[in-house]
Amino acid sequence: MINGQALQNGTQLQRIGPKIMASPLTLPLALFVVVLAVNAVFQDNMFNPRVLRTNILTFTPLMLVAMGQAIIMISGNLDLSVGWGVSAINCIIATYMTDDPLTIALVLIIALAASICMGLVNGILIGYFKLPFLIATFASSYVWLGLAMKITPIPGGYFPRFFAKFFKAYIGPFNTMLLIVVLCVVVWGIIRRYRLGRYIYAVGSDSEAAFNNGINVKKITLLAFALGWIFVFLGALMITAQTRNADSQIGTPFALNSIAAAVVGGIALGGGRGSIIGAILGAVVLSLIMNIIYFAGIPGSWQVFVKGMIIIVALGATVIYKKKYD
Amino acid sequence: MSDRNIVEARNLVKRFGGVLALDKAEFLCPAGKIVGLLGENGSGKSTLSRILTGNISPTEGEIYYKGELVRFHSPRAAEDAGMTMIYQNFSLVPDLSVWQNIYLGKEPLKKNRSMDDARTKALVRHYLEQLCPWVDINMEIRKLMPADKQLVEIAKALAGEPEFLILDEPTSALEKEQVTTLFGLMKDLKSTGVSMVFISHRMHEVEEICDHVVVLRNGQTAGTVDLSDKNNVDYDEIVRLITGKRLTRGNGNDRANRSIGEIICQVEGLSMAPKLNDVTLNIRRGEIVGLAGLQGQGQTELMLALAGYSRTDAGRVVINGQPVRLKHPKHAIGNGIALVPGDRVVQGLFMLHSVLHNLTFPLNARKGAPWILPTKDLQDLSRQLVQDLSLKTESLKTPVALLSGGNAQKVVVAKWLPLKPRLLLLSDPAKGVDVQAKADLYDLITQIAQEGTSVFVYASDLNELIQACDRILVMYEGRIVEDLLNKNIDEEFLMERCLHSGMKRVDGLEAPISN
Amino acid sequence: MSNVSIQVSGSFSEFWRENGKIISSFLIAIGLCIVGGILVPGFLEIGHLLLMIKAAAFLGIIALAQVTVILSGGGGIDISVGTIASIGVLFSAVIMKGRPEYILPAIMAVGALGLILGLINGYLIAYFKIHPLIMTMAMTSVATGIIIIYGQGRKIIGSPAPIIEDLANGRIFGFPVVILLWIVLVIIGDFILLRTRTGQKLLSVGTNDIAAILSGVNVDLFRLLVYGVSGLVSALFGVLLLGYVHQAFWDIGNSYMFPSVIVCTIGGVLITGGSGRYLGSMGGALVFTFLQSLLVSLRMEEAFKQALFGLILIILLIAYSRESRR
Repeated sequence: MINGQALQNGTQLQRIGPKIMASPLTLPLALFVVVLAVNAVFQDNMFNPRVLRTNILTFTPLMLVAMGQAIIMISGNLDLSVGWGVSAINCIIATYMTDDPLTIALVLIIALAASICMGLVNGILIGYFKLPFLIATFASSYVWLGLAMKITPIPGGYFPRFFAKFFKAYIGPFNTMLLIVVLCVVVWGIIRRYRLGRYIYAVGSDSEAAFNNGINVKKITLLAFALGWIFVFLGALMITAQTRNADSQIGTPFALNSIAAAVVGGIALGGGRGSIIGAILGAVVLSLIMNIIYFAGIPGSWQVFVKGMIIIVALGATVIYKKKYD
Repeated sequence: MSDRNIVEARNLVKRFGGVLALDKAEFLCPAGKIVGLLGENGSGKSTLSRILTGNISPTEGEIYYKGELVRFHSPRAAEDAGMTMIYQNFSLVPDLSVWQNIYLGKEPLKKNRSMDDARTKALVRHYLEQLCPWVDINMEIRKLMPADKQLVEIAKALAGEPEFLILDEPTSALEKEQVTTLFGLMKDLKSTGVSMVFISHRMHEVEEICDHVVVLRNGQTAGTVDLSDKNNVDYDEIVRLITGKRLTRGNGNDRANRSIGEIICQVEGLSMAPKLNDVTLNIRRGEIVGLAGLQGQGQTELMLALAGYSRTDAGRVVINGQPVRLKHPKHAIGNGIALVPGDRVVQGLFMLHSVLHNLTFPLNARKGAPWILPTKDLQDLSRQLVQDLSLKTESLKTPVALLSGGNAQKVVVAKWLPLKPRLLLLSDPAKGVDVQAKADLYDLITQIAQEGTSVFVYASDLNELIQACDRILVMYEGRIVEDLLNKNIDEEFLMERCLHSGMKRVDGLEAPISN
Repeated sequence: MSNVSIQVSGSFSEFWRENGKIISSFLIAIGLCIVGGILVPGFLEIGHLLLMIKAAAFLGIIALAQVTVILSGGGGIDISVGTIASIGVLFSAVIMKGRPEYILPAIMAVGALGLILGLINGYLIAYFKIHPLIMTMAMTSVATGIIIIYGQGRKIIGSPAPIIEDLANGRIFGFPVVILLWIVLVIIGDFILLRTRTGQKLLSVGTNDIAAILSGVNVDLFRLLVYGVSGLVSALFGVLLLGYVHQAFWDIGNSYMFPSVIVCTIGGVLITGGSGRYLGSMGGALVFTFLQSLLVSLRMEEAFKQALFGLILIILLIAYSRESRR
């Protein structure tokens, strides 16, 4: 840590060195660079703008859902129902969407409202009824699945082409979806300047201490869930824009993937720590790993196995790193 | 009610489920005075403070603040009115920094309602200047030493500019010097009209700083004792109010009765970076050896190392002439070394489980214990222990979480007795324990030593050591610097040794010990 | 003060504190039966009842592994039990191919595989301090990968030896054998838990690992073995499952995973560890199975079923946590 002695005796690097190593973003960043490099080896046209764009498009939904999950995790909880939640939102959007701008706006508003409701329900179960988050969000995930299946018993639906095009519009390698991610990061940055942001961290770090400071823990928990699910909504919207289809099974991988992405990105399971940029990096790392597995020519049947192994290695690295530099 | 009292609480009743924590308790605090609040663990002290500062609401009763009837629904409401409580680390959020914590919940805001971090930091620096200027305000709380955390907690309360302040065991983590600074601060505050309530088990501190004391027992106000004449304090009366009876002390001070045998434990050159630095000591059979020193000099680490919990870098431990390897507590236990840890809740007890379970677990876990538990024998054993130790519990199956602090501490010690340890290590066993239970505990320790077990006890309260030990070792910066036979030592002398033991007296001059 | 006759057990409130949840779970199970009897003709017919209890037995047996892991504390949970069970189903089917002489090799091979996977879980959880939720999630990926590699997408051909089938489906005096097996296992489990050294260690480690270490228990090793046992039991459960369903679809075990956790909560096993009994999981399994059966019998739309299932679970859990806080 910085102290007067070092200021006098040490070089600039000696002062900053330990600080960088202890930053929660260092490991995800390092992993990101490594995985990017490996990916480049296997997929030689990776930096071609078109390929880059496609990659980013594919990664964006997970980035957004992981951001939502990260906010919930920072507040000290976990939400396993984001998976089928994404399914439900996807089904709402693609089943009722038409070309009419008014309908589009209405459907989006309803989907957003539904999303926030789902978050609030979880927030109430966990914050007010004090159910353990594992069980509560497991139970609620079935309710969202039921909703999705009710709306869309068999895959189908519609999503206007021009709307989808809007999200895929690009300048160079940057497209609208990426812009939305950046916007989300900015919004979160603004929130962190306000008390809500700090209180979310406080509640996640030690809810009893937070309460003793006059913080309304239940309210903050609710708000964290609501906020997180706004991001989940955006993620669901992005994936709907890509598949242009309604499918009740589409959200299934998001539950565990968003948690893994957040953890790899440095979000502590216990809450109170972590940066949302870490979650984004984590999502990218995870997605790149899946890319690598594909492009490295690993036979289809081995892909899942290898992905699991790599995730374990990444997790092990996270833990070792934390032990050393925390 | 008179407006000489800043706070008056009358007929306070508080029920938690079926438990009556406060039973028509009364409390008065005259304006501008420091009132001590004493009582056994479970007497209702912390319930009373929590009610006064809005953390919980009373089931019945009235509270008058500055002459008016008030009812606070949250700690924030109480704070806004000028009533603040200094917790024992329950209001600092570990992952936020010092400056973020001090104004947590009441952050200064800019015009656009976002937080004004620059102003916050400036205010924080101002308040920390007096108490702990060396603390880096950007450091996360979890990285601070316990003493610094306590000081930050205090600074935080002061930053709220309270008129009425409750300090709950504020000195437990502090050094003597820091306590003196704190008391100086409290006297300054008193002169500006702040009224305070001081809760502590350390009698000498209470006597020093308080104008009078209020004693709670079993949720009721047992009485008050005036302390304005410092030369004439009725100590026995205080104890009588706390316990309801005269202080019973066994013949713990009768050291002549005990026979001290040969050396059973030798520690040579024990080192463990960064806290232990070439520790050398020995302990004899049946001897009670005390470990003194300023806080943080390595005492807890030494205890944990001897218990096999921490890996040491160098040095060796010899038990009964045989060098032993202590890589895990099971090795220590196998060699007859048992540890009564400092934090009994976190390290010493299975709170969810019964008295029976806790008392018999080390016995059951030891090498060679039968796989199928001899239930009847274990029950008989527990019954015997409960009786011998005067443990107050409803039944053997009562969860230890429901026991009072003193009784729980007895369990933490008692569970080792069936194993007949050679050496019992105790790491600040009486911390936060009330007067009677403390006396009981040290009686127990003396009794154990009488039966041949050696005792090595670290206590942050030097008086405890002086009363109980045959020999006192002083620890400084990870090594044993003094080995004092406990004849005619008083607290001042011992403290001086702790403070100045980095220096050696050479012909009346003081020169630092070379490292 | 001499207390000559200090009791072992205290009042009724202590009895309830220890056993309340377990008794409640059985009462709820009975309640569900009654509701079923009213709403659905034939629900309470002895044949149907036995069928339901038989199904509950399977869930109950795999739940025993989950109870053990959760009891061991430290965030203990095993997400991989379902997938390892699936591995058990697959590999035993292929090895046995219906031939009785191959039972022993099948059991040993499958058991070994389950044990190894469980030990890997345990090693990384206990010694690398990776959170059990994350680690076992990753292991699920790995185990799924193994299944995919082995299966190569084709339908597995293989079947259980007749003895296994008898065990799973057979009857003694009209009573399904597997139910007896379940009861025996629960009795053995609770005996070990309450009356042996190992059980006491488990309860202590789950409550407070530091206190357990200071009492001489090698907590890391203990937890390593706990996860190993979980893997072993899950794999062997797969063998039993094969007898039940005859065919091996690769995801057949997965549907047991989350229910095994729910069953623990309903049965009063504290999710943070250290408190609970195997008998509780019996009540929990009955409640869960009866609920599912009830919903199926009511012939609702799939979507409604899912949603209602989640809803009822939530209500149950809220009622439960209310009780524990009284």
